[in-house]
Amino acid sequence: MAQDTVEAVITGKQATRDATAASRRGEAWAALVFLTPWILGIVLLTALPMIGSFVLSFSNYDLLSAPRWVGTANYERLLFSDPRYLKSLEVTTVYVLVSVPLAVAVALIIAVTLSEATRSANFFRGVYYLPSLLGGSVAIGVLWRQIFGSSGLVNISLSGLGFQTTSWIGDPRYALWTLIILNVWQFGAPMVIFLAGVRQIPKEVVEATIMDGANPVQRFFRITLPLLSPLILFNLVMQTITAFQAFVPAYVVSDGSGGPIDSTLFYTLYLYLEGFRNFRMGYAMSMAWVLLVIIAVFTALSFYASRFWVHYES
Amino acid sequence: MTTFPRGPRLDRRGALKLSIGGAAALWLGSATQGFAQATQIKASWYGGQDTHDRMQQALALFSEKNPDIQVGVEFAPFADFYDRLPVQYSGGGAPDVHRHSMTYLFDYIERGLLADLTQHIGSTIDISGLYPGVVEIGTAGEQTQAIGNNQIAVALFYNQEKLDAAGVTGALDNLTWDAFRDMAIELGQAGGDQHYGTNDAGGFIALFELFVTQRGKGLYSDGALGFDRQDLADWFTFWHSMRAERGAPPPSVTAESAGFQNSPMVRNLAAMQTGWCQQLVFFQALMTQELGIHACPSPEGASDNGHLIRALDFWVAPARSAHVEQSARLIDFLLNDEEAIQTLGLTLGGPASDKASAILAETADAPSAKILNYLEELRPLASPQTPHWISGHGELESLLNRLNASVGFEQTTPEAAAENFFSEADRILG
Repeated sequence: MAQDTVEAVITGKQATRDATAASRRGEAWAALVFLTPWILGIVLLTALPMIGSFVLSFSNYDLLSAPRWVGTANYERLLFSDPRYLKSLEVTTVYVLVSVPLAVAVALIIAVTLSEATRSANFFRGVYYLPSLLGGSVAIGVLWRQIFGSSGLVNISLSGLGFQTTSWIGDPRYALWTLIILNVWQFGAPMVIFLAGVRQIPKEVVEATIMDGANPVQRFFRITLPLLSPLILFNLVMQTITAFQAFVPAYVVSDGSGGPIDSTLFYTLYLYLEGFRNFRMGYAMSMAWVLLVIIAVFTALSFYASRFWVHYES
Repeated sequence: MTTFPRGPRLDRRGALKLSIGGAAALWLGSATQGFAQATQIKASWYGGQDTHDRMQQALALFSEKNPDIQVGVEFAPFADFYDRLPVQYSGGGAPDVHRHSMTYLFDYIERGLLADLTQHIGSTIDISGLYPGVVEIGTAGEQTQAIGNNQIAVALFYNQEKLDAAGVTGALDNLTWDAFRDMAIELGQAGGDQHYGTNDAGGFIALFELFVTQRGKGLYSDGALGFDRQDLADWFTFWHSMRAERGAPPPSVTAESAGFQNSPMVRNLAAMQTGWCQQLVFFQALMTQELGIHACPSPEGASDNGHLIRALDFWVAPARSAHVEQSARLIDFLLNDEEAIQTLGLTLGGPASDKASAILAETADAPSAKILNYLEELRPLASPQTPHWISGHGELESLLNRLNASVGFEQTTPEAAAENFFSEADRILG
């Protein structure tokens, strides 16, 4: 009898285990079915084209006829014998190194200033975020032409004040700077992230420093800045990645040429011109892969440097 | 209890049979209908709004007269059109018939991407009335892959009022390059501060072609550059001297001059403008002052004024198109149908045949009449040749423009710029 009971219990446990396993297998299948659209998307729309572009970056491919294998010739030309490529790298690097820290700094200052939950602060937060909603759109590029053109708003104001005017977007000394201003002006996205961060700073800490007699500047540098440092890193990295890939503003402001005399020839704009206008798609693909490496190196450097200045609470 | 009459029962097998039968019936129905349906082709072109409007009207006429062909359309400004076209060819989705500029035509011909229209010429496409060169430019060996849709020449447009005010109209009578320079400088000075004689045409490759043709050379010869470094250095020097004395605007003004509406002449910054003859219509539409048209400068005592009257834009069909016959019919219609010629006017350029010239002369408005008259008067003086550009021309055109600006910004000298052009051209044409 006892033996029967034991067997029955064992069989029962076995049955439960089987049922559980079957149910898990069922769940796994269901999960797979639900994930299929995303997996297909990643494989077909991201992974395969990436592999394709990597392979084609070693070819002479003009979009119009079959690719021809050229080994590392594209990469060699890129790194050693294309002055326009080096120019595009220089333009983009200046753009990233100047506009990204400025945009993050402005976002941080505005976020701290507007962190109080008053009605006017809410209003200004909305107003300051607005340029980011418009983003890198064509309309903003056109607007920028109107503002900085030879008969644009800036020149009208300057001549009204008796200053000498110049064509800001037509002069290679200033054209890139108009695009840097454009990028700095769109600080809304990092500002929102900083705002959330400022709200997370424990009130007790702030109150304690006030009790100790710290003034607002000391509070900013001793409390706010260190506690927000992980977010500063995050914003710097994200903004750097986006800035390296900037395309639309330069395309619109320079009429797709990167001019005057290549002063706004952004990396992606040159890539586009080589691929689609000059029928060197293989070369353009090698440029894309080098850009990936450049962005990866910049990101890695940011993370490496962060150990010296980013403060994590844990 | 209410009973309902029992209808036909539909079990799973029945449903399956019904759906297979239904699908087959639908397919057969659509197939039968398909035989009676018109063949769908897609036509595309580049141009401004006027071109888009007139082309669509002409295509509506074509569909009326050819109910067995339905034409879908696609159009864009020049730069956008050529951003899209290589991708369409690459993906096999190129339009069945489209406009093609000589700037890029040979990039496509050399790769064997265009259909040979030879078998349709004579039978479907009537080329008997077309001007010399209209067919020849797109013909290599025994194959014709492109048929011109216009015949045009470069020209000088001028603001009559400004020329009269500066008292320089007489200079047009014997317009040598030196006279042109003096006239431009006088016009710039007469206009006052920040006014110039003409646009900076140092980057306008067709005008440079005219310049070298006047020197007995050509832009290209046997697939390579057909002129010398010195010719190009002289060209850059000429425009640099124009800029130095306000004969032409500084490069920062030129950098903002893309598009008809931004040209210095339309912005009232300059009195003259170089361009393709048919552009007079577009410039005049943007200005209230009357514009005139004149041949471009030529050297003192030259027998040949170097102007080339030739087709610059073409109709082509991709080699992979399944509807080359229908495309050929459309090409013939656009070239030869009287109503189509009238509808299109000068929007695609100057007329490609005597017949088109005659039809347009009857109905031309004032600016169009000036263009027709210009071509008529130019024809006996123009070069008899119709040389064509080559694969890589588009890139060389951008290069010329960039180097002219570099000289203007004093980043380089005319001689160094010419040297740079030649070394880059080696790579581009190599």
